[in-house]
Amino acid sequence: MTQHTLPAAPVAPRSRRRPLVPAGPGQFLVWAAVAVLTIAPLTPLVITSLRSKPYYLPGGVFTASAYSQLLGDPAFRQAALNTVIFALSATVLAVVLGAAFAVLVTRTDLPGRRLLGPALLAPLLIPPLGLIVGWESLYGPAGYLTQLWSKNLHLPAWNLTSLPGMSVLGAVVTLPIAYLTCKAVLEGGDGTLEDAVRASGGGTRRILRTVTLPQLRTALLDSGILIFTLCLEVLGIPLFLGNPANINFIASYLYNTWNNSTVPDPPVVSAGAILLLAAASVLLLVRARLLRHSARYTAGTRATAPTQPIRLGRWRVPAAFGMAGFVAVTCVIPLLGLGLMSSVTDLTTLVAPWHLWTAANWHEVWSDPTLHRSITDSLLIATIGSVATVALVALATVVAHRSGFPLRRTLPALLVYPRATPGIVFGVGFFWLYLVVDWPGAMLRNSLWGELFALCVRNMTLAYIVLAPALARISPELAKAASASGAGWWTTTRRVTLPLLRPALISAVVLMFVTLVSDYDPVVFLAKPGTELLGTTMLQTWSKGLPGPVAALALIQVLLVALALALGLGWTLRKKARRHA
Amino acid sequence: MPEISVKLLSKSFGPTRVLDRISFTVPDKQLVTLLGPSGCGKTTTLMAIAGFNNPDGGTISHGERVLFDSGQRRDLPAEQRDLGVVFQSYALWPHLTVGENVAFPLKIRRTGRAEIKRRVGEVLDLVELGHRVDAHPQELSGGQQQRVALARALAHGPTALLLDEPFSNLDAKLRDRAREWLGRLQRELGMTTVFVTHDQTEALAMSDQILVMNGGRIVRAGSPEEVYRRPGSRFAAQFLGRCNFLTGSTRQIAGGEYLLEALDLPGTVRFHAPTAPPPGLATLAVRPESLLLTEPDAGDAAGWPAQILRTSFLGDHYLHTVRVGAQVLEAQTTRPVATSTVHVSIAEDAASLVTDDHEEFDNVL
Repeated sequence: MTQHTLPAAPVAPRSRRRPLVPAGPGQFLVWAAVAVLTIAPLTPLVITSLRSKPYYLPGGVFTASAYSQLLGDPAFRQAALNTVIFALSATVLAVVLGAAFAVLVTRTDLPGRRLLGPALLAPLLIPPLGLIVGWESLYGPAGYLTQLWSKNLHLPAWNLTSLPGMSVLGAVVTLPIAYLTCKAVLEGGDGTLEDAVRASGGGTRRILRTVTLPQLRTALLDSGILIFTLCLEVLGIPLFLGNPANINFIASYLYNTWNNSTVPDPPVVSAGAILLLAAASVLLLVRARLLRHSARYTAGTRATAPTQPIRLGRWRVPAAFGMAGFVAVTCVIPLLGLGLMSSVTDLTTLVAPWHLWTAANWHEVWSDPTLHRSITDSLLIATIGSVATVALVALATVVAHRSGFPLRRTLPALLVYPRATPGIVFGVGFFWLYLVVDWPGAMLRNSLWGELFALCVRNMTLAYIVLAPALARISPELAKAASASGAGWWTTTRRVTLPLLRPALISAVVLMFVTLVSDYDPVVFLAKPGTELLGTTMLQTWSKGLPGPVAALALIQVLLVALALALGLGWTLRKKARRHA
Repeated sequence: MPEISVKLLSKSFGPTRVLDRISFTVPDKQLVTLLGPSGCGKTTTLMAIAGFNNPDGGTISHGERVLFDSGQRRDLPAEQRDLGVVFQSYALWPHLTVGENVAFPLKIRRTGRAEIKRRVGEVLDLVELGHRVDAHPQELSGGQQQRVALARALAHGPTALLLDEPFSNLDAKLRDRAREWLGRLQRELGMTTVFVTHDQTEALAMSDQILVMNGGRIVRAGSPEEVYRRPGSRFAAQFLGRCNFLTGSTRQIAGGEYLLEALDLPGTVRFHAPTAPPPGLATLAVRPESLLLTEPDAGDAAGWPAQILRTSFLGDHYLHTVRVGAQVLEAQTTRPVATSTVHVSIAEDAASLVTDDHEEFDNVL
C-alpha cells in the first residue's frame, strides 16, 4: 500500500447547512399538536358534566347534579347492568374460543391451519356495522335463516336481540384480540418445554394441562381485560339489535338520551361519558399493573416450535370443520346475507329471493344525495385522514423514541389513550370543544373537517401501535451514524429513519384508511345534514326502517376496506418479489 | 490531526457510577485502545467523545475545540463534532447503496456533485471496495460491510476516528486480517484514533497505548509491552492473559531490588520495583512463559523441584500445570517436557509487583 493522505473534503459553510425548522422547536410543535389534539376534547367534557345547564345557556352553575341525576335514573342503572352482563359473557366466550383456536392453529396438526388462522382475523377487518347488519338480516328474529329454521324446519329458534344473543356477536367481534394475544405467546414460547413433557412420558392431555395452558395465563388475563373494556363502550350492537327489544347499554343509553332529550345537549350525557371514561381508565390501569411483571413469567430462551405438533387423532377433521364452520357462520354467511339483502325488495322465506330481485337499493344509494354523499365524504375523510394522521404520528413516534426532546416520554401515553377512551366519549368531547372554542370551532362544527379531527384523533393509536414496534426494530445506531456523519435531527429523520420505516408507514396508512371508513362512534354527535359519513348514515337509515340501502352501504364499506387491503398487500408482495429478484 | 484530551469525565446511571473521573490524552496520530470487560465504561467513554451521551462532569477537547465542558455547560451536538465513528453493528443504512452510504456525510455538508463522486471513489478505493459502489450493504460480507463503515467514517475527512469494537462481528480468521489491515491504514493516514475492545489480543496488536479500564476507572495505562509485562494490578494482569500470582513477605536487597519470600514456595523470588512494596504481604505476577521448566537430568538443575500435574497441547505451545511446594502454577513451553518431575525457575526480571484488587475483578465477571 502506498502512503495515503486524506485531506478534509470541501464543504459548504455551516451557516448554509442549517435546517429550515431547528430541531428543538420543531419537536415541540409535533409534541404540542399531539397534546392539544388528544387532551382538548376531554377538557370541555369534564366542565360540561359539572354544569347545571348546557354550556351555552345562561345561568348555569357548577354542580354534580348531572351525576346524581344519571345515577338516580333506573333506566341508566338497567343499562349499566346490561352492559356489565354483556361484557362479562362476551369476554368469557371470546377468551375461551380465542385461546382454543390459538392452540389449535399453532400447536396441533389441524388440517388447513395456515388458512384458518388468518381467516379468524376477519372480524377485525370487516366494518363492524356491516357485520351487525349482516347478522341481523340473517340471524335476527325476523332474519332469513331464523325464519328458515323455525318456520320451515319447526326447530326451536334463538333470539339474537337478547343479552345472550348480543353477547355472542360481541364475542365474535372481539375474539381476534384473544386469538392474537394467545398466538403471540405460543409462538414466542419455548416449544421444547412441550417436547420435554413428551420425553418424560406425558401424553397430549398432560402437555395441554401442564405446559400450554399455564403459559397462556398472562395472555388470557391481558386480552380478557382489554376485551371487557372494549365491550363496555359498544354502541352499534345495542343500537341495531338492542333497541327493538328495548335493551339499552350505557353507550346506547347516552346516544338515545342525547337524541330524545327535550333540552338539547344535556349535561347528563357528558356525565355518562365521564363515567364510561373513568371505568375504562381504571380497567386499563389495573391491566397495566397486573402485567407489570409479566416478563417474569416468560421463558428467557429463544422461541422455538415443538419438534412435533400435538396430534389430534380422530378429532382432526371434526375440529377443522368446526373451525371452518365458525368462520363461515360468523363472517362469510353474514357478508353473503348483506349482498342478498341489498339486492332484494324484502328478505323473506315466504317468497324465493330471485322473485324479489331489485336494483332499487343500489339505485337509491346512487341517486339519493345523502346516501351518495356519505360515500364520497367517507372516502375523502379516509384518504386525507389516513395520510395526515400517519404523517403526524410518524413524526411523533420518532420524537418519542429517537430524540432528546425533554417531554418525549409523555408522547406514548398521549398516543395510546385515545383508542382506550370510548369512542362515544370522544364524540361528546369534540362536540363541546367545537362549541366552546369559537374559533376554529364554529367552522369545524359545521363541516366535514370537524368529523375528520374526531375520527383521526380517536384512531391515532392504531398508527402508533404499527409504527412504534417497527421503529424499535430499527437499530438506534443507524440514526447515530447519521448524526456522526453530520446530519441534524430533521435530516436524520427525513433521510434515514422515515425511509427505513416505509413498510410500516404503508401498513399504518392502510390500517388507518380501513378504520376511518368503518368507524362511526366518535362522530355520531357531530354528523349534521350535509356532513354525513357512511356509519352515521347507516344508523339513521336503519332507524327509518330501510334495511335495503343500509345493506348496500355496508357492502360498499366492505368493498372499500377490501380494496385498501388488497392495495396494501399488493404493495408488500411486489416489494418482496423485487427484493428476491 | 489534533489530539483528543479527556479530563475528569464522570457519568452515573442512577446509583451506578459508570465513569469515575477518568482522564487521558490521545496523542496526535496515535491509536489508543480502551480495553476492559463489558460494563467497564469503555463504550460509554467513546460515545461521550462522539457526543451520544452527555456525561455528568468533566471536559472533552479535540485540538483547539472544546467538545464538552460541564463547567461551562458546553455540549457540542454529535453532528457538529466532525469525527468519524465506526459502530459495532457498522450501522450501514440498508435503504442506500454503498456509494450513497459513503456519500451521505458529504451530501450533508453540501459538497459539489462532482466532488462527491470523486471523493466516494477515493475512499472506497482506500478500503479496496471501489468496485462495489452500487451494491446494497446486505449484499456484502461482514468484512466488506465493516470496510464500508470505515469508508463512510472517513469520507468527510474527519480529524479523528472512533472505533467501537469494529471486529466483534467478524469470525476469528477474518478478524486477524481486518486487524492488520486497519492498523496499517491508521498508521498510513496518521489518524488520531480511539479504539474500544474487550479483546486483549486486538489491543496488544494494534495500539500505541492501551488504557485498561475496570469499574469506570482506568486501572493501567501504557504501551502494550508495559501493560503486559508490568500490569500493576491483579485485574490488569489477568485481563491481559494467563498469569501466576505469588504472595509473600518482601525485603530489600539493593536500591530497587527486592526479594519475595513466597508463602507456599520453597525459595525466594528476586524482583525490581521503582518504589518499596507496602509493608506486610505483597503479590508478584509472573506470566506462564516466564516460568522456565528444566528436566532434572539436564545437569544444571537450578530452581525449585516441581511435579507436572497435567499438560495441554495448544498448537504453538504446551501449557503445563505444575505443583511447586504447596502452590499450583501454570507454565508454558514451546517443546514437550518428557519427565513428570521438573525444576521450575523464573526468567530474569519477569516478576512484577501487583496490587491486590482481586475482588473487583470477580464482581465484573
